[in-house]
Amino acid sequence: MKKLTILIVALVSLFGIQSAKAWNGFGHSCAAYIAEQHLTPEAKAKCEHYLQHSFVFYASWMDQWRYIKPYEETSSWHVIYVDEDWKLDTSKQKYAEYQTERIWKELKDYKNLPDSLVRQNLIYLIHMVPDYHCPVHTFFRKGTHTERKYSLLTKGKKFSLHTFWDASPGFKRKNWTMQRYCKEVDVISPKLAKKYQKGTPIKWANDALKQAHRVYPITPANTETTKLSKEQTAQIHKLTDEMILKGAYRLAHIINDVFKE
Amino acid sequence: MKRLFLIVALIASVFTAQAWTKIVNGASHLIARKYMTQQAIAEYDRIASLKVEYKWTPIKNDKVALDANLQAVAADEKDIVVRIEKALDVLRNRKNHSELEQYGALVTLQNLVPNFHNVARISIEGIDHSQQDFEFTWTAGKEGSKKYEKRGTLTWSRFWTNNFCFWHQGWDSEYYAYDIDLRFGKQREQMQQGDLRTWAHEMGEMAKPLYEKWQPGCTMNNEHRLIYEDIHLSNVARAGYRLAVLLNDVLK
Repeated sequence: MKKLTILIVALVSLFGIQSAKAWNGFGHSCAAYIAEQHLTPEAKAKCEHYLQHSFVFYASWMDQWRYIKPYEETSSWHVIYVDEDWKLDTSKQKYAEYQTERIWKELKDYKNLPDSLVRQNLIYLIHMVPDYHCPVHTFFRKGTHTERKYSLLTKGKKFSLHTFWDASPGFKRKNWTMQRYCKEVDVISPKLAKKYQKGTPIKWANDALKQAHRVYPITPANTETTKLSKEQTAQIHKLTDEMILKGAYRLAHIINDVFKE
Repeated sequence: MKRLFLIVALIASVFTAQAWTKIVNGASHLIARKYMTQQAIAEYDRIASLKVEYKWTPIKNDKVALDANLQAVAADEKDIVVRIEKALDVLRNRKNHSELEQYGALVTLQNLVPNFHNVARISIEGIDHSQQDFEFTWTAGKEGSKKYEKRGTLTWSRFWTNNFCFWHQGWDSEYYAYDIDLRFGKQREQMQQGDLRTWAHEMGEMAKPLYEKWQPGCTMNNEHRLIYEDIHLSNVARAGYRLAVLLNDVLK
């Protein structure tokens, strides 16, 4: 019961942060870089052809443009929503999992699409797929719970849970590059990678929702983040790295599928 | 590859003031190295490995001085074009110069060829605010948006020096070099054509409309950063491709 209470308090706290970004720049670079390592040579060449840049260049593009017309409407594409019954809300079709599915389907016919549309869709996927795997990017419908602020502390000052978990890929990993992150974290077996890639964007979103619940027992409200124990830090890294890898492998899976001959 | 990093690290270690961040400057060096001849690379590595006591002394806000017709005027000894030409002369006539002078010339080129390609370093006669740094207001969003209220002050030189790495956290010089070469590789030969003076004129043509558009006290937002990132990256590419041309020429 106590755990459930903590969970409810924690989930409710997300109400006020709908404009926040998910993984920060470092997290997005890492996810895109790992995905890039798992692209087929054909898929990588196609991406470079359409993007005229590296795959990782566009990792944070959606965050940069979300406040600028005509991309303001893509703001909701960064998250997944949960309804009153704590189930995935797919009714409005404007959230990340639906858009991922739509774009994946559209890109399968990439040969008959204008290059500019293929490019734009790739840019969306590179950001969006890892983004909705960020544990604090599971949003809970506004107004269904009391709007209580759920904050963490850093040196006694309040800051949002969202901000903390956005930055968790680089937490206590000073000066890590995305290459180092990939080397240290991307060590899973091919069997597990295949397991991650199985399913659909909707199924992956349900998995992300399930994993999002793990955030709250690890970092309860008012946790002083400068005094986290080794065990807590290890738990934070475990969840973060798992979600980065899931996002990255699933992104690679989509791109490889689109450009398979 | 290990040797390459050692050499780049060696040269980078003497940097104290750069055109761009250390990572991006490093990228321009890696791009240059990719297009240097074997002979130039061997000579470069020999000079970079010299055990000499050399301290690079940056000149704050050093400029590429252009007249109203955008021609390099080489105003004084501090001028970037003048100092690059002197360094090239030292490396071209290595036999007449000490190891210390050769090393110093190499470090000068590593610093000043990127500086030369930084928009904020271009000074144009008749445009007062191009001759010294200036402040402007920076906002995250456009007027009317919530983000517009989040504002601060930025300087022109910081905008063109540090501002573009923010969204590429976790990248190292190697990945920057890979990305920039991927983006601009097809334009390499075109970018490499000409000489220092024609490149200075080209930089003037690029900088002049920017100085005309942006005055001290103006307001810029995130959209402008996104639009200008391609100019910034193209200049990193130019710096790398042209450094290769210069070194290939003088390190024969």
